[in-house]
Amino acid sequence: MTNGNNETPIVNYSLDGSQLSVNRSIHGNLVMHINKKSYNGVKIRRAFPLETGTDYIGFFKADGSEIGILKTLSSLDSNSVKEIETELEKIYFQPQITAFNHLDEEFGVLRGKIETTRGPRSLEIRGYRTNVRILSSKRAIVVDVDGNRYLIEDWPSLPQRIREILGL
Amino acid sequence: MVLNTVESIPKDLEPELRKTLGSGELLLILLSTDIQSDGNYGERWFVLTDERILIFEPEHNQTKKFIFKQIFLKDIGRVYVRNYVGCGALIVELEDETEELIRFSLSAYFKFSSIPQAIEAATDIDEEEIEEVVDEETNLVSIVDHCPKCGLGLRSGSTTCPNCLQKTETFWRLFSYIKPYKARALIGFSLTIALTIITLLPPQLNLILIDDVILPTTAPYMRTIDGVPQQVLTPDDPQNIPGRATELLIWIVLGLIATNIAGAVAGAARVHILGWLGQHVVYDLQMQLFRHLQHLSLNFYSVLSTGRIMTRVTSDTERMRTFITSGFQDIVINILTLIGIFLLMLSMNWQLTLLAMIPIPFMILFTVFYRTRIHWIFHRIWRRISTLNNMLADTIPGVKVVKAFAQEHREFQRFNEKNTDLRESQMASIKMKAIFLPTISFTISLGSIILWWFGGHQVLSNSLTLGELQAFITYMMMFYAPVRALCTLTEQLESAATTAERVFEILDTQAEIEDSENAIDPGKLEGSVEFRNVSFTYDGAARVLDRVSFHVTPGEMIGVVGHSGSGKSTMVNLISRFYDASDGQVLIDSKPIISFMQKKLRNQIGVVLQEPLLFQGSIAKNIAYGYPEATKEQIIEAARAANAHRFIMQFPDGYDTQVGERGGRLSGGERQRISIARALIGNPRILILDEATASVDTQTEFEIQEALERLVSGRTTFAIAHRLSTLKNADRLIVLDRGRIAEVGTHDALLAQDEGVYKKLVDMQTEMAKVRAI
Repeated sequence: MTNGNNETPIVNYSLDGSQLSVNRSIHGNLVMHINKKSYNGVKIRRAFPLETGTDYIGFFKADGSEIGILKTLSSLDSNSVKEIETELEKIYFQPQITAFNHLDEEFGVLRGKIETTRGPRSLEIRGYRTNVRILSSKRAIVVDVDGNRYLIEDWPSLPQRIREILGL
Repeated sequence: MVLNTVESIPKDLEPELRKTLGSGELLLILLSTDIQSDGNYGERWFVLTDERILIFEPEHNQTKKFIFKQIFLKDIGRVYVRNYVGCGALIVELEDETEELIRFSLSAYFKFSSIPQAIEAATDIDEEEIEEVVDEETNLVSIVDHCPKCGLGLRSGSTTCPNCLQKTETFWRLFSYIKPYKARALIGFSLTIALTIITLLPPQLNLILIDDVILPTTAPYMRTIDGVPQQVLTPDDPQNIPGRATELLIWIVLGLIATNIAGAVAGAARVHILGWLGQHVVYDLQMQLFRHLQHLSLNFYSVLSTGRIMTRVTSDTERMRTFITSGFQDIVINILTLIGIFLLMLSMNWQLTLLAMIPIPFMILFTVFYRTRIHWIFHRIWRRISTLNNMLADTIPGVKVVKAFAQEHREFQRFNEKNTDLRESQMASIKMKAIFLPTISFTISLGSIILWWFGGHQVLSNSLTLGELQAFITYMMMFYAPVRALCTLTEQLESAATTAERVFEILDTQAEIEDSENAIDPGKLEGSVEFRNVSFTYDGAARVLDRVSFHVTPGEMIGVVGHSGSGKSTMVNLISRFYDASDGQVLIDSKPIISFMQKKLRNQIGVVLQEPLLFQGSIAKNIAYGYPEATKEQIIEAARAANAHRFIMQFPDGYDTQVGERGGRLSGGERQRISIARALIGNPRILILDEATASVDTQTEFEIQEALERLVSGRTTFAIAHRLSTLKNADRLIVLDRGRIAEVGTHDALLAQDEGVYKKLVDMQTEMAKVRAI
């Protein structure tokens, strides 16, 4: 957050990647080290889970209070990046649909067989008029009957028939 | 509680499992998950025995080899489910480490959510208890949220799978609503058949008109009778009797008039009878549905939204009426017409009949193709319109914000973008129609051209009369319409079946809270309330109340406090028996609440909610809602006690003032005081005040508080209040924290506890009040 035209942040929550490292405790918790301080049991969250990948990662203490936001992982050491990516992978299970092998409608329910970045999956979408949402000119999200979410990275490139069925 | 859930064990896993389990080791739970250890989709199994937890996973690319890990129950400190985004994991805390046991997508979430309790139970289980549980089928945990036959996800709270439900069964059930009116239904059906026959008559009369009246008198040419050429009489032939043709003409015209009158009369009678039938069927259905909805438990309403329920009662039943009355009849008429015309055409000339059939496959093909394509195009248009509407609904009321941030141009661009999308989708539909409709017309005219060509030749070679050709072509044109209509037969039947299933789904939902067969009338309650180790969960997983126990004596006033989500409202809902405890017992006057008749119990419990909902009608009717036989004096008395009398009397219509929809014509404070009067009029023994003063201003709160003090005297009262100061006068306070009782005591005693939850809450509110004052 900046103060009008002045670029000085009002509260500096931006974390300096070069001063930050992350590892795991023997209990499997994330431990964050920054400015000679260590925080055990750190929780991390994506600020923009749908828009960006690993950019803007929020760090929180075990009690939920905020430590700060790291804009990008690029300035971290490789071990820290690996730990953060592993943790994010665990927290955000959001497979991307890479192909629709089959998609059809029956009794108002869409049923499909898809390929995702996490492997093949059978898909069932009820109330597809609200559960297929366009996020941007390219991205869309599909929510299945159980609430599982699947991202479509480039919906305009889907076959016309699939787009028509999904209403995209 | 001991769970015993064993999914069908995969063949490949079975020998591995047998080999792994020790002799005498009891298999309690076997569940499959859909995410493997590498984070990709795939099978993995969670096994709980009375000794350990086993996790099996197929080795990479090997279906028959498994890797497994095990954790002994004795080593486990704590087990819980961790919710991630889009998945969950079962976590175990061991002595010196925390381990993620198994991951699952949201599809498998529900079945794993109760596993921590199962593990907890399994750690202190004795052999006898296990045997007992294993033998009792009823103790199997139901994890069916997908159809066991086809795997289709079921609607929440439903056990009916739309896919596996036999459509024929649905239709039989649908038509069973006609049973009480079968005489009229039969007449309606007979009229349908009569109408079909009547429709087929005019071409036959035309045939006679051309061949036996017009041609003999105007065209001197040969005709054949039974293949033998005949000389047609010329008008001046002495054998020709002009009177005979005229006589025939009169009969034909009379016949045409008669068929038209019969058609009109039968049509009118049919519309009336079927309309009557439809209205009665939909009335019966709506009444049955509404009665059933009133009977269903609150849980049902938390699963299905109000909008959806209303759609089912109104639109869906209306659609069912349309199908029963016209939809189904149209299908019958179309089928009968097709058969009738086909037989008639076949009896007239089989070669021409076969030729007339040439365009049919093309018509079916075009129609089916068109309908499939246009369905998706309409779907897209619907989406675009909806997006545009949503945008308008955002920007028009928010025009001030748009202007304030000078974003008019951006909003214009956004609108332009959406509108262009809509225009393109509409154009796709126009293009489709522009291609399809002429194609179909061309196919139909191609049929008549074929008939004119071949039929014309037959007429010229005297093997067919002109009248027959004319009748044939008329029948052919009549044949195409039902063919096209029947192309949508499956769609019509499916739509009707789906609609009916949605309605039947509600009718088949069992109320979760039913009076037991030997439910008793509690009589006049004393008002003691006891919770014995009560736990409650809405979803079978997270406990909203966790082993809550307390005893309240008659006439005591209990304040219930805690953070939001701590279980306060759930607790008081159990006293009204809107829900039943998942575990433990709720007792009133030392008897289990489930042994009472619900109606008799609720008559003695008064409830005042944070958002007082009034029904359309007068103030008096609303006050007397739960006690319709109340006298005017009692109504005024109750209003006076609720501090409502004075403002009611200020209204020109006094107690006869209409409150408007949901009481919309009254202020929040006025509505609340009327709802207090409504709770008071039945003279309840137990009172529940759920944030009764949370949404009103200080002056109104004071007046309501005054009314409430009058209300609580002599009654057992449970009051939930956001403003803790309003509970100062409570005899005791129960402080809830994450579903458990954290503290019990008087206001003063609890304030004296320095680290107490209540003290913290009060301090927080005092700080907030200071901030507001600044």
